[in-house]
Amino acid sequence: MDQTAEYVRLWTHHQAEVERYVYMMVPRAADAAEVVQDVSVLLWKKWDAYDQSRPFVPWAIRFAYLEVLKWRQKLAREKLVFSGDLLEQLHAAHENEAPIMEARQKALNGCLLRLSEQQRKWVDMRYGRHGAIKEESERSGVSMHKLYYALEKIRSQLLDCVGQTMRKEGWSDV
Amino acid sequence: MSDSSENNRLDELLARLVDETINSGEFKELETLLDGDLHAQQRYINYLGLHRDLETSSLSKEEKPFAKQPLRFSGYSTLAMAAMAAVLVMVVSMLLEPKEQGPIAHVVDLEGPIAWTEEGSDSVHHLEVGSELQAGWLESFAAGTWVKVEFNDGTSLAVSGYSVVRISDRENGKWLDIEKGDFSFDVVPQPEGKPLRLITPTAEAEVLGTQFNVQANANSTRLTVNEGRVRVRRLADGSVKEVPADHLVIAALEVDTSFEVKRRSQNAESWKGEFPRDILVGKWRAEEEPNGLVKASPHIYKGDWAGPEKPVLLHSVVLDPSAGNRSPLVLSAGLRIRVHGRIKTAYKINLGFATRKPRGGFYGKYQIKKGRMIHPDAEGKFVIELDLNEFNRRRERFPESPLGHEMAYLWIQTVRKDVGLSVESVELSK
Repeated sequence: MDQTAEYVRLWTHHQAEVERYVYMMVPRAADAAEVVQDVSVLLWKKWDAYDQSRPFVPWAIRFAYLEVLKWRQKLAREKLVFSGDLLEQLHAAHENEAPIMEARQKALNGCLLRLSEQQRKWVDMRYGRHGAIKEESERSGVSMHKLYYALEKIRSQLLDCVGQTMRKEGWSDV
Repeated sequence: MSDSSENNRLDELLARLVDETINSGEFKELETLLDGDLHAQQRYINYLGLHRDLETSSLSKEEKPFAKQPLRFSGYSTLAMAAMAAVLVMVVSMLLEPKEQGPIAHVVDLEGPIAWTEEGSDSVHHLEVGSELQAGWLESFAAGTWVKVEFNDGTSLAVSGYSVVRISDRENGKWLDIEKGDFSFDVVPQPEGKPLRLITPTAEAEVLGTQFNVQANANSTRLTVNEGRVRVRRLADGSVKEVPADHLVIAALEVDTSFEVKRRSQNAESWKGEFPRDILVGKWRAEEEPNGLVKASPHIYKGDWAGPEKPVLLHSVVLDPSAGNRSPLVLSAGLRIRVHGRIKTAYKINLGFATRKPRGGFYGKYQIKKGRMIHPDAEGKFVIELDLNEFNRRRERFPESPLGHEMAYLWIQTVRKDVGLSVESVELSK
């Protein structure tokens, strides 16, 4: 089997999971994107050592964690960077949460349907098109601050709704 | 941080974080809230996950990307494009390939949450007695889980605890790729030139016909031979050892560790937990006074796949009394289990253990009925002392008594609620 093709196939298939992990560890989107890029390159460099009979994602996340630590070391003096100890704790917490992420994504789909039309519109603006919130603020006269505050409440509402849905489905204290 | 009002401040900070409007003071505050607080960390992960899901689900509907920098393969873009084309060719040729071989093994018995992913498929299947298996991944998700699989030639494999193994039967013999876990093999004589091959993160072994046990994780592999002979290669340096009956070898990642074949020591009749060595599940906190403690780890117990149990959140410490090169702990009448630990509030604690036969192979699981209500003292400490006869078999089909068998692992856990369970010491003695 062509090794390059196999790498690209696996990376394409699992990239979102690795991105999700990196974004959790490196919450600033621009930084996270750079780290993910570095991870993709690092994985390719390490590809010869990858045992293809083993699962790809845990292997990739192990290297992603190393890249996150490297990124942290580079930016250690910056103020918006978590400590190495906290990153380690978040890495461990992610391992515990990862198995139920898919169930949470399904629950989120149901919760989105429960939003009001207005709420749904704001979510679509915030996540659908860069700059749309600013345009909406200018168009409607509602301040950007108020729109972001509304979005903050919507996210908390969605998070609680996902938690309730999970509990109803028997996922206990998740 | 389970109460929603307590989540408010955390959510405010998380909103500023994902909207990238957080200032350094708020960031420091967020870090303080997250440090050491599992619930806050859980909410953090779920909040950022939700944010990410909203971004990606919108991305799939909209053409305009929200992501600030498109991901690329850096200097490998041309390579990647060529590879993409190769992938297409590969997919088409895979579709044209003849159907895979028939079942190579079947499930003889099982207990607990087990997942089976057939090779080449992303679907996870539940297993039941009689399920037929082709090549694929077998995963067991809880301390009390076990499954016995039998190949078409009668070779059997018992998997227990948190284990992951890939099973296949190729032209040149059976392959078992172990990622981690606790295994017991009973291998019938294999055809000439087609040994059973065992691969772990730290060792490889070739087996022609024997009975042996394997405990493996990312750092080391312990292989104990009960009958016959097994040839083991340590991956760290390629050195090879022959392990005869009643002997064991430990192959670790570090080359400077001992890779000597040792006679299996006599059985132990008592055990005092040594941390972190004996921890299977739980987080070692060396800095906690006076001698460190093992903090329970959260995990979801989904029940048997085919059973009626609903998923439940557990916080568990699971310990292995024969970790490292320790003699197996054989259970005898009069043994008592003493656990010193801490919890934040009065709550029920479950205790249980799994056993295996002296020469390997799963035997049964035993636990105290309905848990034990624990009232901690003013410092949050508690002590539980139980006689072995206070433990009941979890299923009718397990032998009534565990006496005379080895303790495979011991669990101490709370169900549903996180009450900060930690274990300071565990001891089994008369």
